[in-house]
Amino acid sequence: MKLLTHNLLECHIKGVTNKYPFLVEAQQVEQTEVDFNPDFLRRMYPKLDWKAFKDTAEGLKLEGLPDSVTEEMLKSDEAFLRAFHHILLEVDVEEGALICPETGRRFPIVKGIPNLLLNEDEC
Amino acid sequence: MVDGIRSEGGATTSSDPMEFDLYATIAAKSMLRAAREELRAVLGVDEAIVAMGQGKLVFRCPISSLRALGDDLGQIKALERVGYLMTYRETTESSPHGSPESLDDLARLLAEECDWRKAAKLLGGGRKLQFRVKRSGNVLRGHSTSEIARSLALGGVVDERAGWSVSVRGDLTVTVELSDVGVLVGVLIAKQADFNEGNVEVKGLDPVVAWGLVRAADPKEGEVLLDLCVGRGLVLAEAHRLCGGLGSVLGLDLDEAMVESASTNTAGLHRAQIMRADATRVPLRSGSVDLIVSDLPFGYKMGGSVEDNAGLYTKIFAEMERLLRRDTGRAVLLTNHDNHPNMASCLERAAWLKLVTRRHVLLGRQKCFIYLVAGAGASGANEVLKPGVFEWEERRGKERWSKRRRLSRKGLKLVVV
Repeated sequence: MKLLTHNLLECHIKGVTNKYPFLVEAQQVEQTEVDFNPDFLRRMYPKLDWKAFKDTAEGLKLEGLPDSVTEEMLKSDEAFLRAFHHILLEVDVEEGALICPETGRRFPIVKGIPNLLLNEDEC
Repeated sequence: MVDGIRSEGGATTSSDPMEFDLYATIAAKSMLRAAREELRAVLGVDEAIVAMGQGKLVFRCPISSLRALGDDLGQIKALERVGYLMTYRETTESSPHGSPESLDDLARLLAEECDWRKAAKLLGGGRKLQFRVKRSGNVLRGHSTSEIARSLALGGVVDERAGWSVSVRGDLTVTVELSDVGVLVGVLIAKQADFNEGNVEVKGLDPVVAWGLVRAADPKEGEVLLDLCVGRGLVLAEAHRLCGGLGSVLGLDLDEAMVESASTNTAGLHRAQIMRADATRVPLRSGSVDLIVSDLPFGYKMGGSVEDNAGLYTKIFAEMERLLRRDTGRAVLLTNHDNHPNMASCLERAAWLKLVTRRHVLLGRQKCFIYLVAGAGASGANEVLKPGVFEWEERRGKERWSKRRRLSRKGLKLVVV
């Protein structure tokens, strides 16, 4: 599971109000090389919650993301774009869990696939 | 032998184009015209003859090197495979003895009619060959394909002067196709890079229909696409192929076995993410999705029913209106005719999603509808449309989808280097 996917996810347990973002617990992280495409990053940036992205990356000890992003950085800051690309697209959580920020409920990630099924009392 | 196809050898330098004979495989008769157009436009081939009944084309083409040929073939999408033609002999009413009657006969055909030295000029010397035999009809009926291949390997049919040797594991495969309509001997050179017909790992929704659903959703770069009932992942695979620049391609399923198959079928597609989750309780942020493309449950499996689908579809619609980007969001949904009342009542009650097009499609024997629904701000949402077809289609017909899908491939890729 990539951090791009994580950025779109939120906890869907009934009644939970503090549902975003999931905390990530990673037992196994893999890195796969993906072609660097700055235009893709420029298109995806407005769709992301930057704070959630940066905090989650730091939780996984992935450094190098700034607190905020300027247009100038998106346009021409190669070092920033490389770091953004790597953390958004090349890091995969293979084994671990997503944890609801309010209830602490653990949703396991096995072989890169999160299991987000709810129990009956959570629907 | 086909007139005008066999060529005489002749020494040439590698930069100087030399004429070689090639063969190509087409997936269906409907691809013939597109295949001929591409051959003319890309390789300058004016005449391509239909061979082996109808599944193949043979043609002559000037080639300066294998690499240059590879670059040209990269632009060809209508053909499944292209190979070097060693020989082709047609069996017709007027030449009923075209097909070999014994193993010796076949060995003689390969030794006498194949110009191995010329083949080596294009494909390179020092190659190790293996033979592969495909047989149908009555030709050499008493012999198994492996027996025929073995006899060719031992039969000394390859001209030694070509500098090629026969091996159990060769780097070049000489395919010998035998049928009642002819004999074709060739060496596979290139095949389609992203898919040949029917190479899905685990079978699921017809890939052509999956392509049609994705095409109807009109995916654009950077968009997030979601399949609420991912099944075996065919929609995600087609979406990934059709629009490589999609931001994210997400698929959910309740069923563990489906999740596993979908994961197998989307392995290596780096924008795809499979999750185990419920389509009525989706763990994604509101407004985070641009497109939803789903083959909905018909209600015949997994303990469901058409009656139960009334409730299920209502919940799914509510989730869709929450998940999709308001106004520009769109969804393409497939279900069968029996579920149309369920869909109709969902559409009636929907807050902002409106029906744009409903198109009939046959899935096996199952009569189905595809619904394109969208917000008022989606492109094409307010146009007056031809009834029963999508705006990008001229006429109905799944074969047309199949053709368009093939023509959207990346192109042929060399398998011999």
